[in-house]
Amino acid sequence: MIEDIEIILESSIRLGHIFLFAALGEYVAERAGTINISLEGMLLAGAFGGALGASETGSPVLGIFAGIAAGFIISYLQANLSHRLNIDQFVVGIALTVLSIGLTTFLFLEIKIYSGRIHEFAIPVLSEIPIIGTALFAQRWLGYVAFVLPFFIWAIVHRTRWGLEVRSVGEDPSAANVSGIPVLKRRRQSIYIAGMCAGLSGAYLSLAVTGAFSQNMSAGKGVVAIAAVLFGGWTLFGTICGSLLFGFADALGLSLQIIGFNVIPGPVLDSMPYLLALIGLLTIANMAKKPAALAENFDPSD
Amino acid sequence: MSTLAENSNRRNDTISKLFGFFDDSNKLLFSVLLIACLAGGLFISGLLVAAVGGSPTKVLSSLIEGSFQTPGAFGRTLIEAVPLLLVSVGVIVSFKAGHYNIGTEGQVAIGALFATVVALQTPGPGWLVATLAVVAGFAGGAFWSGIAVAAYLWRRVDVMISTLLLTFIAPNVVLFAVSKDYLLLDTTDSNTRLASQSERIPSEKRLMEFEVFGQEIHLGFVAAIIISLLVTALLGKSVWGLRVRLLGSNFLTAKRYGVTQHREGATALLISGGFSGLAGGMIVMGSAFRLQNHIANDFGWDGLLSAIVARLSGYLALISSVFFAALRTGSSFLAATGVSRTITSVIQGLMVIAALMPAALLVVIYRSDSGKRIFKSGKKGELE
Repeated sequence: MIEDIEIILESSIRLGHIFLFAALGEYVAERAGTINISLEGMLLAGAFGGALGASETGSPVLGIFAGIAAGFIISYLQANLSHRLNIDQFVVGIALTVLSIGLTTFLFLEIKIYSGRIHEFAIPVLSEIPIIGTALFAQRWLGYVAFVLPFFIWAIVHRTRWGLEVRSVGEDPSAANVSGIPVLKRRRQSIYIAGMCAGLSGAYLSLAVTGAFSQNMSAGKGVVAIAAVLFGGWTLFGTICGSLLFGFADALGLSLQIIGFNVIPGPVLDSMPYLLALIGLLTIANMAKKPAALAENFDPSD
Repeated sequence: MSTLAENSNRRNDTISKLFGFFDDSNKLLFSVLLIACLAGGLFISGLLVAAVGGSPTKVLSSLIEGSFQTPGAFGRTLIEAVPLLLVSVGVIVSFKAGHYNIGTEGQVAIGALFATVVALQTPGPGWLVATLAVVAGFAGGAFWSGIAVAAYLWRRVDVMISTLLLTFIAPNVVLFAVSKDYLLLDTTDSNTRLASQSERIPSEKRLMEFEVFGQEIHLGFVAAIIISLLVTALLGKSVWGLRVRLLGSNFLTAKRYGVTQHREGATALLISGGFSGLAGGMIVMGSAFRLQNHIANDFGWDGLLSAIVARLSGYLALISSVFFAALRTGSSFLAATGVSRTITSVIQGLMVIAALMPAALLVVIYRSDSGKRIFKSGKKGELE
């Protein structure tokens, strides 16, 4: 029984990190008033870039940077098409997601990739703690970034001038514009952060979780990460809780099938994170105060 | 909720900007840009093929060969185009109403499920069962989008996110149905592996097939064309269409005229989901003949893209859906060229980006100094 709990905890932390990294980036972007459907594409590009980079250079560390760069490229396109050239951000998001699914699938079949897997690193004393020890302190080392990244995001969004400007752009772009804040620039920058975080998340997925890239391996994880931000009510703590909860739902579905628990049929367990995200949106998300200018296009010349 | 109203007002202003022509004087410039961008997209695809060591001309010729030239290929392409067209029309209706129904893939799957249930369980004359099954497909798609509609009306959950999440749930629902013997699992002797699939639909219950100019097509093709023309005409010319477009283009004006999310918004989304479901029904009754969990097979996504490439025009969707169908059927001929058939998904993605680029390029042109001089009457020129 304890072993079962350990397995579920361990895999929910592992899968939760995928959502967490991407959701933290999307949190910044949504505070600036943008929604990036292309987060899915950024995540997938990151997974592919990570695997390709690690395979070409032979070093997982460089692979991670390649993944972050791949996510950044997609976010660069998203940001400049929708917040410089005023194309609708959702349509751009759909287009970029489709493009990255197509490109990664095509290149994956054309290029041979042998990426290594990131090593497991158990922190000496802490990993001995019963139940939570292995889950938290015996991860593949990229997973430990999850202890640092939330503080970093918190610091830049809530403790810097830049962060204040980003939040003001998300609340009232016209007022921000009048007071001299470059609205579209801040939005673009926040999307770059989302892209790099999603790229990191993708690299974590392909280099640490599975150890190999496979076709369309993100499979809606980016969408669930967006849902985690909405679920968290556009607060940092809520976003973290949301992503870990969806990770738990994902892990629960997988582990229960492995353990052999078959009261709930497999297909239902497989759709757990999506179902939970939907239920979460229906119940909790609506109580929150969202950035007032969320999903609102801003044209400084209007 | 006033912010919500303003939000969707702003948001929809950009939809009309994106998909409409800026103003009449620049239609020519716009069309030239559009054609140049589409050609550029194809050119980049060619570069990519060359980069992986393939021959772009061979790829192009085998795509054309596989989709139009070999015997019966054109008919196959048209049959593939049927679900794409229906999905596109649905997407157009919802986008025009200002809602992003992008969960078409899931609605296609659920529509196929409903159609299969009716087709396998209903006794009666073949043509009647086929009709009922296709209608049930419509109901299935409308039901699946109805969940998103209910979530939106009840708790203002963003339609875009909820339909997407539902898309990832739908294949699991279908898988559940076809993996249980008390539901749809095929337990007849022919299915020795007990693969997760339903029984085959008996041939008398399928959509009627006929031959035109040596190409085999089925009745769904005719129905799809009539439906799409009808809906496009209704959307453009009828009072209902005006109200839907009003909802999409100016929320506050719509409110003044008594157009509400509860009536017009919900109807548009239900119709949109229904058409995706109808497409699913057509797939089962017209070409797949049995239900599997991958029944939607990207038809939903491709239909969505085809609507965007058609720039939300129902008439252009007729062309773009045939183009996307040709990519699907042509891709099976790519094996001989040594280039992976997934190049077609890259082409699709690039085409969608290309369809969006003219609007962006116009912004660039208007903002540039020479652009301001030439288009002094233009919107951006007024800044001076």
